[in-house]
Amino acid sequence: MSQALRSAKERAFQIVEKASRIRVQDARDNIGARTTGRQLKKGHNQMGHTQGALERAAKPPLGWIWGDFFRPWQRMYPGEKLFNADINSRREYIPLSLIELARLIDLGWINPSRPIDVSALCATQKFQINPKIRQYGFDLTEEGADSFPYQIDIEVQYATQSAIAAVEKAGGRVRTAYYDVESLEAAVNPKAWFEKGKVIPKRKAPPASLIEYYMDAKNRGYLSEETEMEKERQLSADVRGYVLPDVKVSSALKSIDQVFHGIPSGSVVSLADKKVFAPKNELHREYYNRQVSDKLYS
Amino acid sequence: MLRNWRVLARSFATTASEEATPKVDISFLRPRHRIIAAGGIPPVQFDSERERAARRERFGRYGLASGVPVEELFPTAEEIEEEQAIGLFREFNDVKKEYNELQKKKKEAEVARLAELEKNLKKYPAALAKYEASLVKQEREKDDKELALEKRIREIQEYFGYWMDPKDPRFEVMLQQKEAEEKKAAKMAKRDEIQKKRYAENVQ
Repeated sequence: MSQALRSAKERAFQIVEKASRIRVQDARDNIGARTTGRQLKKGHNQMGHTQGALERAAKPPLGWIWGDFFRPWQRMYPGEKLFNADINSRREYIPLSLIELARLIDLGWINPSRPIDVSALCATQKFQINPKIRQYGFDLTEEGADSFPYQIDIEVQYATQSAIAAVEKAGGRVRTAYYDVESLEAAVNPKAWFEKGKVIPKRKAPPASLIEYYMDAKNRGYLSEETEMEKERQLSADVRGYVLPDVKVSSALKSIDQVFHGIPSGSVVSLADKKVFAPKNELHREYYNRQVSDKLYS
Repeated sequence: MLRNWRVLARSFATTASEEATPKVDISFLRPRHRIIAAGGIPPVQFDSERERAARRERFGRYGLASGVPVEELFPTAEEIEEEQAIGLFREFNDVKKEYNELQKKKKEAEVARLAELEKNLKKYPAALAKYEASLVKQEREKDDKELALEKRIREIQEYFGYWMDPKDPRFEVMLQQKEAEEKKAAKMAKRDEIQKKRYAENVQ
């Protein structure tokens, strides 16, 4: 009631008063400023197959928008408050259900005895992750949680409680870990990264908005304490009514700034020589040891 | 196409084995591409290959044999300095500390709110009794007014013989009509009485 009564001026003042000071982190494009595709010909923008199909053939069902690659619905309703307001800033996680994972293991695409992370999942060629369009990794979902048989060590970027419980019930280990855009790019296609001669980036810590998730032992966040995590494991077993198996995953965990297992970040890999080069001088060592947090909008 | 390459090869050959396996290149590849096809490292030929990204790629492809020093792949002191001067990324420890403080504040606020609720809960029976008392009083006040109104409405509805919404503008008109009729009836009754009286007087 009081909100409706206030004038636009007053409300604007209140917004400005509440807003934080402008920082470098805030300097970025307007939302939706950059697009990758554009319409080249008028004829390309057909809401059916062709004009004729629109005029006389059977129409697609109501609500169906025919594939319009140059003007997808995300851009047809940019910033629609109801469902699309954060289209250009929200993070996307590629869903990976437990049943899919089990099938990949069954078919031999994934080796369950080795740690499974973004690189292992992307090496199956069954998923595509494009970090440039704010796809931030995998979301482990609970589909198939009732009968997940494999004891795996998996690191995903997001996981539901049921999925975590299902993996732990089978004797596995789950960690949710944040990858910034650069690290994820390296992790998605390591060969391309190595062949470009790029330095393996240091994985940045999550931005302030995501710290809560990754510091929570309930989500098996990689920033939470190991003891807390053990408690949560037991708690989830008690709540869901299963006995935690004794078998423990023996593979080592990545350190919080590591992208690849066994390769320290800040080093260069030469596939031709089969060698890893780590910097020796103090400047680089200090630079790559510094733990920084990712910026909010990346 | 070079049609007589076999002849040409034989003419260059010095031994019998070479004669059998001709050495003349008929692929029409440029020397650079011939080297690449043979699995060698092509020499630096274009300006673009002297750029940093290209040198990096060269190292990535051919390793140490490429001749690109490993030191070149790492960011320079200037680049590191620039990145730190821009200050795009905050120290993780600072962010963590901030987060912990925020959580602490949230927790404190929650505790304070719970304490407030508990305090209010103690006052609750008294407040409830007071409120209920006020409700009873209001009802009593309301009753007289409402009863009068209800009585009036019922009378009108009985008079006209059908249900009528008291908010209807016609209701007021009908009320006036009814009142006028009642007045008239009262007047007539009075007149009748007087007439009866007079009649009685005359008869006596």
